[in-house]
Amino acid sequence: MIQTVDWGGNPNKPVEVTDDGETRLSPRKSFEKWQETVQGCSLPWRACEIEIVTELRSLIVGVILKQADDLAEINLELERSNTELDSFAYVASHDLKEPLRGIHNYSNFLMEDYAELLDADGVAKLNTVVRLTQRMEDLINSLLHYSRLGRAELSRQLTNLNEVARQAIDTLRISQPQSSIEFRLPRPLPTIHCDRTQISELFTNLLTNAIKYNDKAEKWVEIGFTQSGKGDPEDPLLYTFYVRDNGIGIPPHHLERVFQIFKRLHTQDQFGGGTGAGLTIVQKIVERHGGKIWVESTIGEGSTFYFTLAARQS
Amino acid sequence: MSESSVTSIEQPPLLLVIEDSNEDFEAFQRYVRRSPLTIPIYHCVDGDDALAFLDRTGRYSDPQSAPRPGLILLDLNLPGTDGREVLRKIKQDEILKVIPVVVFTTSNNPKDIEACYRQGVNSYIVKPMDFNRLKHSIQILIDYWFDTTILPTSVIDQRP
Repeated sequence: MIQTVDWGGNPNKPVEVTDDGETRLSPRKSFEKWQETVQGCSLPWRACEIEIVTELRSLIVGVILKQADDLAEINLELERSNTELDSFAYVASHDLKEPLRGIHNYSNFLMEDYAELLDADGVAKLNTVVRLTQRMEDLINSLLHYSRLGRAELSRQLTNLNEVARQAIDTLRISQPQSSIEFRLPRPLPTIHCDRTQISELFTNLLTNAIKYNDKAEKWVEIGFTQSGKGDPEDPLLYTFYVRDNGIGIPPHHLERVFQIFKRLHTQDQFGGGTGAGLTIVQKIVERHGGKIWVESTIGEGSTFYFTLAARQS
Repeated sequence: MSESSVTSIEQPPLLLVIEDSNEDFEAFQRYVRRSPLTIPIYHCVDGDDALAFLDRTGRYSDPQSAPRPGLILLDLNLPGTDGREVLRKIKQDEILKVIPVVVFTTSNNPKDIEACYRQGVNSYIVKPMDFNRLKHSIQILIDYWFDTTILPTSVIDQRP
């Protein structure tokens, strides 16, 4: 706003102080208007303008409030459906487990109470029943765990992945004292912002698989990463991690299938059995952190699982 | 030599088991019977019946028919009045709250565990699926509560 203001004289002309300490005003000798060009100041508001702006403000506030309301309602709905899903998964698993427990217990009671009447074959058959109930319990637990994993709130914290990997390795070593396994970390893993518990489970599952599906005498697993992005908001820091093994490998036509829940590529007798939920859970964890996971493999030589995780979550 | 002691050799107090599954109760009884202690058990199959027993109302108005239990074993998932509600009512009642309650349930949901402890449950046990672990859990439960701890019924007057 450029405006020209008429003054009687220069309002900024100071009072002069003479050498002998007296103050002196120097009134102007001319009556010419001393004009000041005022730049960069705004005009005062007129009443009608104020009214219009106030109305605009209440409209904007109204829109924001309504959006906040809608959001709150959506969140409530989400919470409700999450609670329902939680109860469904919980109830389903509890209700399924009860008769299962009965079958398990009564098979054992039969073996205990009728030991003299049962021959070796009879006992073997009952033991099969018991084993099947245990397998079913594992399946139900995996399903419940997977379901909860998909809906739990992530508890993000700065996590030193080096520590996480080391802990997973230590735990695995304890459970496999006889095997000769070499864990290679070409360089220390970075520290990222993520849910520590979930990422721990991710590493444990991937490392367990790497050792499990491995028929070599000298097994090794390598954990590493590559980095991309500069680290600013437009080009955030992204890590692509890999877990590489010298295991049995995966045939190309099964590469997608390995992530399906309960889908194994082998029978329960082979490679230590399992529910087939491990990779499904890993995939869910990666997705919940906004990343991607994929696998490359050569039959007989080994597999490499790649997954991306951002350094910081937006 | 004798130590001054509160307990003398007396019959163990009543164990109230609130469990809706007959098979689970059968399994429980099977192992309790193996203990050298003869523990009297009363079995309620739902929450309402259990509360009537504890409050001595309805068909339990005669206090002789409903002696105060020394320990309550509670399953959380009951038909009708839920086990969590039963726990709440017990721990909020002036008379009943002194009775230790052990939740014995399939739920390993952390929310359930926390909620029960907040409500004042004395102990929370997840029913093991494995046969041998179940046997072990029940043995320990009986040994601990009936042979190691002193239950309140030993010292609290059994007057109605």
